[in-house]
Amino acid sequence: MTRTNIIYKITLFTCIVTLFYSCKKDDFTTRLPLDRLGDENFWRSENDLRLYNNAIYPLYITGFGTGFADGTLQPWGVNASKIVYGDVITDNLIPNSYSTVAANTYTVPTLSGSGGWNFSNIRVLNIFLDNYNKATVSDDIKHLYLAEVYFLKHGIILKK
Amino acid sequence: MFQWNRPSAIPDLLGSEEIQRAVVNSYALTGQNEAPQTAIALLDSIVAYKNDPARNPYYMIGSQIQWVADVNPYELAVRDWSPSQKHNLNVSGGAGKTTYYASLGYFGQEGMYRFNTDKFKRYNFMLNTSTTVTDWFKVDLKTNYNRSIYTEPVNPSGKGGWWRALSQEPGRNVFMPLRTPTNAPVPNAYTDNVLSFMDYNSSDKNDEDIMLITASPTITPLKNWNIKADFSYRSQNIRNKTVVPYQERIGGSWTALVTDYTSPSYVYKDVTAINHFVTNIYTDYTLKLNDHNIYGLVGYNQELNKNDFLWSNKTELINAETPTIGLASGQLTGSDQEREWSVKGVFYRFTYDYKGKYLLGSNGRYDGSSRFATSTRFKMFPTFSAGWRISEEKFFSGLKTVVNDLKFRGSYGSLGNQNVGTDMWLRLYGTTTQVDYIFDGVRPVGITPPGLIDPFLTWETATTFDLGVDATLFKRLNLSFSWYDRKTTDILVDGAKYPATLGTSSPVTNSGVLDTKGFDFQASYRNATSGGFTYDITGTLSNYNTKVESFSGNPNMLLSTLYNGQVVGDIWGYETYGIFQNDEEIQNAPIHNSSRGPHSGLIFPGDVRFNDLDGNDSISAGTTVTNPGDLKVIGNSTPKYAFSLNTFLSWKGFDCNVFFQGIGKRDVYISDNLYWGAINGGIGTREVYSDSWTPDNTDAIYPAYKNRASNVTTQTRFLQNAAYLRLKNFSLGYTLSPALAKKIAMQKLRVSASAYNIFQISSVPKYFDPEVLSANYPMLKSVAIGIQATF
Repeated sequence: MTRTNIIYKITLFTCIVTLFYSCKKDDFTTRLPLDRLGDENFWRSENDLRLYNNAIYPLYITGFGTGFADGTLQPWGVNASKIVYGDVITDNLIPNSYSTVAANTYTVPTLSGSGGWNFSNIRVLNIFLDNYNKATVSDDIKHLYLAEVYFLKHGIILKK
Repeated sequence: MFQWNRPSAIPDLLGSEEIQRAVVNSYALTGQNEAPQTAIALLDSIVAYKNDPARNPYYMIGSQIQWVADVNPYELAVRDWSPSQKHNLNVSGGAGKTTYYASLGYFGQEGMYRFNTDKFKRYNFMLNTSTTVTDWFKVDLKTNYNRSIYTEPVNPSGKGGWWRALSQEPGRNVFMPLRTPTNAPVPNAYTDNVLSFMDYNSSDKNDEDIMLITASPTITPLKNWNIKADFSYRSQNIRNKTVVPYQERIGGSWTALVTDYTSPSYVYKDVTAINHFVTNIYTDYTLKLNDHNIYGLVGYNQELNKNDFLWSNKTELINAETPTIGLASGQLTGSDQEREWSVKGVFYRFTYDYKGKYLLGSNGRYDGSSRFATSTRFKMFPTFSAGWRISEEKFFSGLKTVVNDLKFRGSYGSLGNQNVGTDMWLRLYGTTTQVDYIFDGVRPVGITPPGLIDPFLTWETATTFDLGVDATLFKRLNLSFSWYDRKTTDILVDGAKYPATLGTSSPVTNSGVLDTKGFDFQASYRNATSGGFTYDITGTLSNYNTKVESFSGNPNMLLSTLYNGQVVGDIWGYETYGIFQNDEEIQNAPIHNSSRGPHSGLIFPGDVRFNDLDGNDSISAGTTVTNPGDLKVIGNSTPKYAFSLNTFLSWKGFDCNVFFQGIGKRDVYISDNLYWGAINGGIGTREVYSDSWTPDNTDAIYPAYKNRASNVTTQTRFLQNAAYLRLKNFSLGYTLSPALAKKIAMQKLRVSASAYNIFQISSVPKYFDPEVLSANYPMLKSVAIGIQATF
């Protein structure tokens, strides 16, 4: 092999390597998260739908693990667990504050910042509605979870 | 080289008598007639103990211990000088077609505390070899290894770094001795003084090693044509280990011992492995055609970074001497994190000059980053430059003896910045291991929805236009001046304000333009006299100013985020009127305690009074630029007019280097309670206490010495001038003459002595370093001696 021949081969090799590196289109710069759930690896199975709905319940039905309190959050008069404190809307006990619904003084919130106009909980439901169809499960199962979400969504709209 | 360091200033802390006297006096300053008996009794005991240290440093109220010692935590904990040393060994040589350079280094430093001080050690090793295989093929190999180990006692969380923690909590750190006296019910035990955490054997160890290997082949197929590549791999391993053994301390009781921060005992370990791969392949060609010089380069670059983090923590050490996860019996927790990011791109450079007189150039990159969405991932960043060496022109020849070289230059170009988190462009779901709800008797896992993202997130671009001139006069004086205007477009910020009806917070987006204008100037003069005296003096001056040209996320012009027209660094605050002298003045002054006012509750003589700038007879802070209430821009915290002066002198083997550095203008507002003392809840210094307002000292600088943080509100009266001038380095050296060195079998021998930060002019409190202005570590001054020998 002559010198120019070797040089020619090395140059060609370098060019091919360079082309190879740069032409693998976009695999190299596409780095999906390795330790977190994203749209690429979520909304696949029934389990995904169930886990998502699990986290919705505490937003709408105050339950276990929520603190002890007797605030005056609309409309019940308390903002603590309604499982335990639900009695405040019956005649069984008298809370420190009163239920605005029972006293017929509940007003639909109008001003922004008054608490009624933060839509973060509805956003949670809407994200479900946008995505649940991606799951590869039968419609029967999908509709089960869809019904839960529709139920809660109509519930909150009634309050607005 | 051996070096000794010490804090350049230690806060002049108040003693227990002054602290308690201030407490007693503060009752009168808040409209109460008399201090309660307990406070007066405490003061009496403190005075009694001070006069007779043989007494016990405590007395009992029932079962409650009242401590009355007089500890100055800094005097107790900070030693006079802490040593450090640095040693380097270099070897170079070659045989045949291979040359090598090897170096071995050690650096060790001890912290400034007397007990259990922090220690830092670093070892590094480097080996570079270069082999010419044939006349057209060469390979360079570089190996670099770096290991550093840092240990320090664990500082209790929430108490801040050690230096700052010492200035807090007078009831513990001043009134309590480090250990209980030998005749106490619990003798010789730690008290709740913060120094007990430093002294007992907790440890926080950081151990890091970095290995960098680079192989760089170069092929030269033709003269003037090179094909080069760099393949490098960097492996970085970081290991942390925190050990907090169980420790009981005496606080307010002999029986109910304090174990906050030290119970349960635990051991925490983490490991981070970062692997970074870089590939560069490029080729360049140089062409010279008569008077035309052309150079061109094209290349490809890619980088991949993988970060893998694993931690675990276990409580209840079985034995404090062998603190490991395996030898602990309590709760085990742990988790991990895996991240990756990559960039790739192609780049070019092209330069052309005609007789070295007219210069043209361009370079650019077309880059993609994994931090951005697919459609907006790649972006082009070109730069163009031109220069004219007017001194090479024929018509300039008359001036050439005075102005040896004169060049005008200009450039215009852009650079990208990808400084955001690795997956900002992806919607990521959160997880809750146990939701606040019971399904079928268990609290199941829940998945929470993602926040908003900007699917068109892309590079932040800094476009710079720069003009400059370089000149050499009398063959000795070099001058260089550049002016630049840098526009940063598509800045990555998360400050956009949306209405609450959106239901979530705003994402990081490209919104806004920053504009920075500034200049850099450098002048140097070097000369040698016939007597063998040479000198070289270099001075620099630079300044810049950054303005927010537009920011789309803040239509209401809120002060809490960036707004159009904002000068970066502006400090908003009240304009101080003075200090309220009497109740009558308070009655007649504008209202200071409205809901958005600076004070709340009752106002007393000795509180700060502000000016009613908007004339509504009430002092209040607005929230927007258009309606700022009584706030205004009172200063700017950007360091302006940075300057330096470096002088190098040498004469017959002696050399001397003097380096001054400083900032011409800067405002800063210090609200740290290291400075404010009891006014903001800390121990405080004599400087503030002795100049605070009392009914007898009505023209004092500081407000009344009582706990009232609202008097520390950002305002004109206590704005500090942070300009400074500092002698960063002063060193003297002597090099043995080559003839003498040869007699002791050496090529070169130099001995030197240096001093760092030994002199400065500044008006900020002297225990704050004007360069960093943080209360977490003081400025250090140091002296060093060194020796350099070449065989």
